[in-house]
Amino acid sequence: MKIIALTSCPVGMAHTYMAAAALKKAAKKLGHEIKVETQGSMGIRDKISKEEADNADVMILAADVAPLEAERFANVPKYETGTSIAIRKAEKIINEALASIK
Amino acid sequence: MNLTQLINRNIVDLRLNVQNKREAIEAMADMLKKEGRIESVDEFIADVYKREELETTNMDMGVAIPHSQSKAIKKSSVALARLTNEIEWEDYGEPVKIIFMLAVSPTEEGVEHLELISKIAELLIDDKFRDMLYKTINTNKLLKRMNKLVGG
Repeated sequence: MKIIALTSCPVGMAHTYMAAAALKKAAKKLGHEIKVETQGSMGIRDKISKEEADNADVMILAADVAPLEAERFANVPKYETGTSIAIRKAEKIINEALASIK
Repeated sequence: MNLTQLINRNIVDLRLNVQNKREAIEAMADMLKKEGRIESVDEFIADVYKREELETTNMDMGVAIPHSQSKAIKKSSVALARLTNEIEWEDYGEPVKIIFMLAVSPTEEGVEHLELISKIAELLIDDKFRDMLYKTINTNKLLKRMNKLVGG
C-alpha cells in the first residue's frame, strides 16, 4: 500500500524526526511504501505534493501541532495520531491506518 | 558544521550516578555550564522543565531526550549521559538508562545544528545505535562511532 505521513511536534527538535524514522522503519518492515513529511524546526522537509497525496491509500497524521498547508491532503483518507504513539507503536499505527480504509 | 561542535567528551558522562530525573538534569546542566555552553543553570533547567510539562521526553526505549531552546543557551549542544543505575523519569513509563540533552541556542543562525540533532533523533529509533550507546565503554570511541553514523 502507498502511505503518506506527516509528523510535527511543539519544539520540532526531536519527536518530529523520531516519529518519521519510526514510521519509515515500520513501513519497510511491513512491506509498504511510505513518504513522511516532517514539519519541525527546519521547516517543511520531504514535502508531499498534492499529486502524491491524491495517489496515496491513506495518510497518517502524527501531528502534535496543526499541520501547515493541509489543503494538499483534502482527498486522502486520514488516520490521526500523535508523535509519541508513532514513536512507540509505529507498526500498530500503520496497521490501524490501513484497517481504517477497508 | 559537524557533530564535534555540538558534543565533545566534556559533556558526555558514561558513568553518571544519580537517583532521579532532577539530579540527572542538574548534573547535565552543570556539565554544559562548566563548558561555557549555557549562561544560567537555573534558567536553563526551568526551560527544560517547561518542555517536560508539555509531555514527557522519556521515549520508553531506555532513552530520554530532555530538550530546550532556552535563551540561557550560548552554544547549541548535545550532552549525553549513561546512568550507572536506571532511573524513573516520571511515575509512569519505562526506566531510563541513557539521556540525550538537546540544547539549541535560539539565536544560532542556519539549520546545520538542527540537522545534526534531528539525525541523532532519527538514529535513536535504530536498535543497533541504541545498543552501541549501551555497550561502548570508551567515550572517545563512542563519539567517533556517533560522528560516523551522523555523517558529520
